[in-house]
Amino acid sequence: MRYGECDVAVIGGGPAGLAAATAAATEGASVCLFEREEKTGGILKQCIHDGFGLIRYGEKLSGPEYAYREWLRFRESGAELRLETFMTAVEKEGNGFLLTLTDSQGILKYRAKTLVVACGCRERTDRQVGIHGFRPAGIFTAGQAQAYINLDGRMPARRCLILGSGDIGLIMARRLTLEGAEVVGVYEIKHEPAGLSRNIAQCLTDFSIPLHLGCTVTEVAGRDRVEGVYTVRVDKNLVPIEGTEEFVPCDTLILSVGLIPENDAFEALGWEIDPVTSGPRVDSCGMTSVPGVFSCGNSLHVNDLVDYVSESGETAGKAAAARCRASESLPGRPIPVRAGSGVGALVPQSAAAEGSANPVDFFFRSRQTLASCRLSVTADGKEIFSRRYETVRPPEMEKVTLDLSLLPPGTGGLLFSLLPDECGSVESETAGYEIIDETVCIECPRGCRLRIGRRPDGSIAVFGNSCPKGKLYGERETENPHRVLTTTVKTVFGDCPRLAVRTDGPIPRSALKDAQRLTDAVTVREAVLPGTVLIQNFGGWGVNLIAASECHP
Amino acid sequence: MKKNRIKRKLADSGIIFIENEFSALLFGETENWEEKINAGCLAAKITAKPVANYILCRNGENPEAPVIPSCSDDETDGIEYDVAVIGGGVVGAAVLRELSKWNLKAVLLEKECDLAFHASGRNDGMIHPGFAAKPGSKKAYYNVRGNEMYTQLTKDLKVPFVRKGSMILLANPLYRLAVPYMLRRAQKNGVPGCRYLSKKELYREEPNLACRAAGAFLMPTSGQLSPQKLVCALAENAVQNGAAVRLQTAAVDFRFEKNRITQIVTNRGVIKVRAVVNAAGGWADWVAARAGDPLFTLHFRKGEDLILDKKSSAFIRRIYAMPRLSQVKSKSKGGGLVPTVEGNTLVGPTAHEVCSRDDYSTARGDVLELEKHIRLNEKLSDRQIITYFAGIRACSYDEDFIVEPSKRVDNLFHLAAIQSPGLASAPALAEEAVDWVVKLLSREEPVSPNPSFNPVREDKRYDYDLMSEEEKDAFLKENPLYGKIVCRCEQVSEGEIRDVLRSPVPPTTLDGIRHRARAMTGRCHGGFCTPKIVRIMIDERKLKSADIVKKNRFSPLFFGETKEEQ
Ligand SMILES: Cc1cc2nc3c(=O)[nH]c(=O)nc-3n(C[C@H](O)[C@H](O)[C@H](O)COP(=O)(O)OP(=O)(O)OC[C@H]3O[C@@H](n4cnc5c(N)ncnc54)[C@H](O)[C@@H]3O)c2cc1C
Ligand SMILES: Cc1cc2nc3c(=O)[nH]c(=O)nc-3n(C[C@H](O)[C@H](O)[C@H](O)COP(=O)(O)OP(=O)(O)OC[C@H]3O[C@@H](n4cnc5c(N)ncnc54)[C@H](O)[C@@H]3O)c2cc1C
Ligand code: SF4
Repeated sequence: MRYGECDVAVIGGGPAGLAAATAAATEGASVCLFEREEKTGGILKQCIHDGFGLIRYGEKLSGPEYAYREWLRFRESGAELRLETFMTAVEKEGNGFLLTLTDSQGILKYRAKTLVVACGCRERTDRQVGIHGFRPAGIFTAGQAQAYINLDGRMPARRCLILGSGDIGLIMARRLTLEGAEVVGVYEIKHEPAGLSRNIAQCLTDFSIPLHLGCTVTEVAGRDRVEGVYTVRVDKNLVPIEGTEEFVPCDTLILSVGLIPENDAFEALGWEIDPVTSGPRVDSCGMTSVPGVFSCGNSLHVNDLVDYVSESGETAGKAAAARCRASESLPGRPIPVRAGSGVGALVPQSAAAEGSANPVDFFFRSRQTLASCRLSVTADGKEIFSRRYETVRPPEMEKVTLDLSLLPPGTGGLLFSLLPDECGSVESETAGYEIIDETVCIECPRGCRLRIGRRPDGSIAVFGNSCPKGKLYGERETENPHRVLTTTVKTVFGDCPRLAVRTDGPIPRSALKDAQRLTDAVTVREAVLPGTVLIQNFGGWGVNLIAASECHP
Repeated sequence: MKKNRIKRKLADSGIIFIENEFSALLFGETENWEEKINAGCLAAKITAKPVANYILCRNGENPEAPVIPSCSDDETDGIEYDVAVIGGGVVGAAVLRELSKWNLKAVLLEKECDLAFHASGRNDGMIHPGFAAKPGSKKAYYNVRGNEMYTQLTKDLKVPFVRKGSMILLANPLYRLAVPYMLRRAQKNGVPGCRYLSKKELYREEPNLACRAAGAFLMPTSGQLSPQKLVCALAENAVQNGAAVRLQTAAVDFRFEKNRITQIVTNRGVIKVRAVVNAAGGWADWVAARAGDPLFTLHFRKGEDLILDKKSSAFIRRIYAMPRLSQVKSKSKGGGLVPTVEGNTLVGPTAHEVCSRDDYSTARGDVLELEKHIRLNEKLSDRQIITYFAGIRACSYDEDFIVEPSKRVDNLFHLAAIQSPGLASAPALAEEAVDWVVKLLSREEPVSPNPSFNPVREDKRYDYDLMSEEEKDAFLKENPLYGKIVCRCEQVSEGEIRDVLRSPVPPTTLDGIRHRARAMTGRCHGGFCTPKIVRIMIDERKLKSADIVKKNRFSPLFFGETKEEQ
């Protein structure tokens, strides 16, 4: 049996774990990162679409590129990495923890002073949303379909229906369409979409895929392979309306019905779970209710932005390292943080008191869509912070940063509430313009709702953008919409039969399908790294086709 | 007198009741399946013979003939066997293994592309104690014997098995009066160790009980195991000892010489046989009729179960249920909570008559019916449901097993109407059938025991789970692929998947891997591991994407590969 020791043990090598390990090692702690798979990057390895890293790198990267950059940082940090190592048990031991791990050389016992849990999340399945019928082949979670198509190049569908308008489902609607499948529609039980507006715009609207709100699937037809599904409309309380059943023929049902933080292996430690986020309750350092155990990324709460995932990893990693240094010095009593009216998920659930990381980032989601409202944060009843929002939507996680050093000592608690905005909205800015188009800016995840107005003299103006990029986007969108193509190409390597690729700039939206067809004919025969140019001036659109992930024999 | 009343009642509804030498026959018409079943049950009350119910349903509800596998070749043509077992459920597999103890050439014919595809892969896995069956019934006899045999059997076959004990919770203090009767019944059936648990003892054992029980009746010999694993293990061990398993091979017809079956016609050729065991589960009546002995017909009772997340194992120790008085006489035991060896909890099963031998679809209403059992335990909730499934019990009209040699055909033995507790009874049923077969064949020439019979089946995962950490460490050095975890929910390794794919009765489907290795059964339902298992399967068997199927040839996972002309 092999034994090891470190200050900080990080479990999970996705973006959260990589950032945590890098941060802890940079602080001088001895760090070991354990990852189950043969490569770091977590779920990003299969998320070949773009839009990652706007905040962290100021660029629109694909998932594998983002993961690659995080790995490069990690490699510099001096932390130890153990791949294909699976944690089977964890227990408290003295002031620290004892991990039991399995790899292909045997059993590994690791002692660590602190733990950072970064195990990501898993997807809810058809069974967890009460779908009945036989159990034929052809029912996949969106993440599974994503792995099959993007990593292995297997085609799970010809004609499919997507249940749930979560982001992965939306992204897969586009991927499936580009790879030649027909997506008959995205069905969402709620009366508003669950995914980011930007994904609705560029994954559904772009491809004329219908989105059916207030609709769900009750039953799957087919014994051996899916032959169709029964859909039904639901009322305001999400109860099926009789007489609205419809049979939709299809060969595949893809589910994008929610993610659940993956923490089961650590429950033995006895930490407290937040029923709203399904992750552990943490303080502003990412420390759970079990001292010395930290949580970050999607195993803390489901994030829609990987940039925030990395941030939370850094916070946890730094604090875990600090805790190893500070012998026994317990911080003061943490300040409880509560969600008030209108606020759903809220992380962290408490703010560590004096001496800890300051300012503190808070992440929250609204419980329902609210137009013109404001976030009010009160400390013991006194408002300490307020921010106006044009709209808040549950799918879009909002971040606010508060400086808590200004709080009076002995503050009893913080309360986050969403209140109607008394100032009312300013509607008059579009006066004199005819609104000719409404769209969503896809330049960054904020997804501002843009309205394009035209004056009688023909001049165009963009409303609703929060930054100049949005104005440019709105203008181009009315004239000639452009998109980045993200897809895969064949390789000759058995271990990575498909390579993620993208254009390094946008091409006309109308050319996406032609561009996809061009990539279908490409085969990569030599090792490449993310960023390697595969085809210059791809298709004559003035952009290059570049590799987004790596492959080698 | 009762007899006459029933006869009149049947006659009044236009149903003809006749008895021949072997069976009681029903003819006529009813509106629907339910009425037909009622008539059959009435008939069973007035005859000691098996009921063969030939009533036609006017609404067209009539159970189908088996689907014959679409592959057709001559793979088995002309092969001679001493014994053929029809049906690859737990009963057929147990018979095959029992046969492999003898110097006999034995074959198992299964129409599906894997074993345990029907009832035997869709049940609670409970090894019942033998208390519920009526004293004197075949069910009681074989259940108690079978239960006893499981300790050695599971050890030999390396199938995880625990005797958790089961309890009938007494809903109110009055029910305590029934305890002496229960003890007497246990004694009559030969169920060892039963006793009354006081309220205090009960709550000490099961502190999470949410209901107010006045005490419980404990049956300590109840156990639980994975039925799919068991069936595969039985068949694998039989194959190791010289028997043959032929999948996707249906017995379609029989050829006779005098009163003996000499040939079985299958979709893959005609095989020659000297004796036949009918263990065809839901199709046993169809097979019996084909084989010239229309002794009985079956009716079908569907049952649904919920499966709870493994976390539930922390909150429940024994199997238990709180039956209502009204259920005591009903045909099903009404279901309850069954903690499994793997740590999940099964909730169920339900019971309702259906007109299908294999309609395993589930419906919302049936599943809701089970939530009352979840409420027996305060730590369990419907949020822990990870999946649900349905199975079908094939029943006779007197609700007992049919375990007997055919009276019309000299070399045919029926193991039919093996409903619950069929799993628990299977080893004892197999002994009975094989005993008869050996005697029958010995009349022609002496049958000797198989000198090289080895009861033990190898299973590295089973051994691994019993090892100390030091032993595990050493084992992994020898078997590095066992250290590569593929399915994180059930901690199944690549080594295990590859061994399953190389086993004596190798699976050809993803469901087959799921049944044997439990991969893809956890809370993520294969979300993470199925892509990996597909890769292993393709590598191990040199397949293409399009060859990967879920349950049979008609359930492909993929339509080829991307960037391929489709
Ligand atoms: C299918 C899917 C698709 C997604 N698509 C998008 C998207 O398009 N855009 C977006 O912004 N976000 C997306 N997300 C959210 C995305 O997961 C996060 O943005 C980010 O990748 C989360 O990072 P993480 O490090 O917390 O988790 P992950 O990336 O999931 O990494 C967790 C790592 O922990 C490892 N691990 C788990 N358990 C153990 C153990 N016991 N021992 C050792 N290692 C273990 C896993 O193998 C994995 O590598 C998606 C999520 C999923 C599940
Ligand atoms: C919901 C439910 C829960 C249950 N729980 C329990 C329990 O906890 N404990 C217990 O002891 N019992 C239980 N039972 C009962 C138990 O499952 C059955 O008694 C047992 O599985 C019957 O096994 P079998 O081999 O007779 O039938 P099956 O498993 O149905 O096998 C028969 C096989 O024969 C094959 N076949 C049929 N016709 C042909 C042909 N012509 N040619 C070739 N092959 C053919 C079929 O394909 C099938 O695979 C339960 C049943 C249900 C439905
Ligand atoms: S307008 Fe600016 S802030 Fe708004 S979505 Fe576009 S890029 Fe983001």
